[in-house]
Amino acid sequence: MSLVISLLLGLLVITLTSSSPLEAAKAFFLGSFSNSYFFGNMLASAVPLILTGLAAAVSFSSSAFNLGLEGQLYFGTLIGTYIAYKLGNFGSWTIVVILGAAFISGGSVAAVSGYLKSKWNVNELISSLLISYSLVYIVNFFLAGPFTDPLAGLAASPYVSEKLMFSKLMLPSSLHSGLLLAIAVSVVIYLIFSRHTWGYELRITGRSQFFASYGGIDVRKTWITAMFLSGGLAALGGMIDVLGIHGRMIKGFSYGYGWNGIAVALIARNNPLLVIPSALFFSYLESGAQVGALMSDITPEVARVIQASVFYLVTAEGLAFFLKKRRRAKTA
Amino acid sequence: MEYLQMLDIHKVYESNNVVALKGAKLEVKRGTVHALVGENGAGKSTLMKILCGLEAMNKGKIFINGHVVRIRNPQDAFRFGIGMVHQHFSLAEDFTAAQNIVLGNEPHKGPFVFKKRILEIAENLYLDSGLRVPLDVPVKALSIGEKQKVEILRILYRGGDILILDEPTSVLTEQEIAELFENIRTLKKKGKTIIFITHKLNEVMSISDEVTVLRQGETVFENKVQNTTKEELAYHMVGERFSFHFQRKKLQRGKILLEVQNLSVMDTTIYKVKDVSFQVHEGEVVGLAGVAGNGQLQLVEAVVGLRKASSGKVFLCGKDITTLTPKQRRETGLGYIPEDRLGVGSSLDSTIAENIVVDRYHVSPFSKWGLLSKRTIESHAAELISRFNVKGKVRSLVRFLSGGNIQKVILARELSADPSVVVVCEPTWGLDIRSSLAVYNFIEDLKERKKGVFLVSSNLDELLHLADRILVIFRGSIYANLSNDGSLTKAHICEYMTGTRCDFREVKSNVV
Repeated sequence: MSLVISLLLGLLVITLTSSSPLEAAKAFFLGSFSNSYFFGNMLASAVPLILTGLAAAVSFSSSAFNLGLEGQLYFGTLIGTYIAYKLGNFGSWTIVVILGAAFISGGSVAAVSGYLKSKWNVNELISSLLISYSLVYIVNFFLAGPFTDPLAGLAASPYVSEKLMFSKLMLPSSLHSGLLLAIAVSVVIYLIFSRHTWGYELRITGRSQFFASYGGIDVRKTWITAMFLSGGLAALGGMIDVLGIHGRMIKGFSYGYGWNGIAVALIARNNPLLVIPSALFFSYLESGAQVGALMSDITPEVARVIQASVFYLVTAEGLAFFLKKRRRAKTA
Repeated sequence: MEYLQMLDIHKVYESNNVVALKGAKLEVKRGTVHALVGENGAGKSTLMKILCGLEAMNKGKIFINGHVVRIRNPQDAFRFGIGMVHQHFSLAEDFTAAQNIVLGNEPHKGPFVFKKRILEIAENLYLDSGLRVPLDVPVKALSIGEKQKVEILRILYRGGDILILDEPTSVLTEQEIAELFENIRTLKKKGKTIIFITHKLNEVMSISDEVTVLRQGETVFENKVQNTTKEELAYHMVGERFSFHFQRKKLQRGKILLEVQNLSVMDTTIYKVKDVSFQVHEGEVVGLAGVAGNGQLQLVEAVVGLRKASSGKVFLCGKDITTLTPKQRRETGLGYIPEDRLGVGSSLDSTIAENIVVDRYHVSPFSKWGLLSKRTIESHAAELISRFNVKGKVRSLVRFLSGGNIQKVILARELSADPSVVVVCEPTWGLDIRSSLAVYNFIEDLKERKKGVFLVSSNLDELLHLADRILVIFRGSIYANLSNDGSLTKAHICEYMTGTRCDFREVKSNVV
């Protein structure tokens, strides 16, 4: 419902700002499907969102709120890119090492917040956010200094070996096989949620930590692991983006991936499978704005307005759902 | 001529397919006190929520003064003069009583509220209704009985004609109940109609004019109170001849199962439990009596591992469990039925099956190699549901069960784990007679199977019914260790509970 309202709202904004609204609306809503280039790019930009969406869903499900996805992704990608640059290519296992390194470094950063929460009851919302903010600047320092490509005109790392890159799926677009990896990860996370004992611990802890510890679940360990997995998935999102599209780490390449991931998870109500369509919807809006800007006179800001309104409406819907549940709990 | 009629009311909760009402009927005459009685889960609250516009019915008709009315939300209900006082109050704690009474309908002109008028209005209502409440004090400073009166006054202010009171006495002291009944009589004289939800039959007989009995969502009995008896009402409530017959068995007690040695628990800087020692033997129920808040919860949580003991030791079946985690204690043979059923004992947003396996999901056959076997879990849950007579399905959310059924789910889990010792807290709080008796029998059964039970209860009748020995706690220390040999009286226990008597001299000197 809220999706429809926000699309109508987008239509309204386009009508108000554009000189030829009909063409602009067409470009915005249908442009992404007009050729394989736009369509492939849209799918490609959904890839990191699927992973950050999963990252948010994992932490939210355990009731540990990881708001540091941006920094965890950025930091994990830096480590992964550095290793990729140093290793070159030693066969197909190299890619596993690179993704693993990114995953572990992003996850470790998040796990620190999980540990602080478990050990001293430090609010993970604040600690993850603050750590993330400072990490962004530290990573930027490396991209502009020790780990910069002197030939690049911007703050960016050197290119990694061409052989490490994901194969392209739909030339000339930038769609790459990382999409399949992202979908596979979603399925794996879904199976963990619904079938694995750890998923049970996660769900029960998220619904009531007191019941969980009464039942014998180690709530602290669950939080730390959930945060680790969350940070790791976010970093994986950044790393796949680098290996799929850019070939090197560019300063600010991932701006907004983390925050949008939170929105993606909220729309998907923390369901790992629903994260995929939810991320696609987000990238659809984004690419609609880009195509619209190319083909007509609307600006990328329109996409932001629509994204923002989706976000507001969906969270309001979520809030109403939550309040209703609480009211029911109170009167029960 | 009936003032209010609810005919053939049906209600199914879609989310879990629980049939709450199937053709319930309620007819209330103007200016009467009408009791609506039934066991937990009979549909009393659902029927009243429909009347107040808080729930939608699937089928049925509501008449007021012979006219069909549609009640879609609480505002509609108010327009017809219907207001309800819930068990949990919804007052703005920082506002005064007078402000709470007018809240939502303040006397105003534009955005400005007339402060003086508010107090005038409240005073008039107060004088008119005879409900005595301090009006200009923040509500948070009022007692529960007074808060209840504020809720009633609020309904009167909005022109309420039909007042629904949902188990109003369950939260009140004896004296407050007497006062409430006096208020109800005054309101009746003023021509108000009162619907009184309860499962306490003494109250039905003393306050109401007419009574309707609901059982499993159907109206099974209606009559004038003067034409019926308590026994008849009890029969209709339960659906069979039922008497609360419970006889504790005296058993030879065996070896020590649970031993607590000099246990102390600190909360920040204060001792909540101080130097407590006791033992629970095989085939024995040991009760713990005390006024609420004298360290019972802290003691219990230290025993089950949810709270750290600052000193002392706990042994279970001869094994030192003082530093073990809750999980390890469970594995050693400890069961726990907590006082806070909804917050600790169960997860409301999980299914019955998920609730039942919380202590065993990680072992075979419920999971193998870390993978849950959904089928085994659900068939296990189904078996326990039928064994413990829970009214619900494997995949029903616990949120939608009645209090008695939630308690049965908890019992099913804790008792099926076959523990050596079960710590049981307030097991029948808020339950009707039949569920309470079921709980009593489960506890007695544990005893017969040579298990140990540590029973914490604020209900002295319950302790006298069940416990072989009764410990009394006062300000975190044990004041008495009494044998329940038949001559023990409530008055005698009360002396220890209030700290006027103490059998242990060293304890007394400790406290002072």
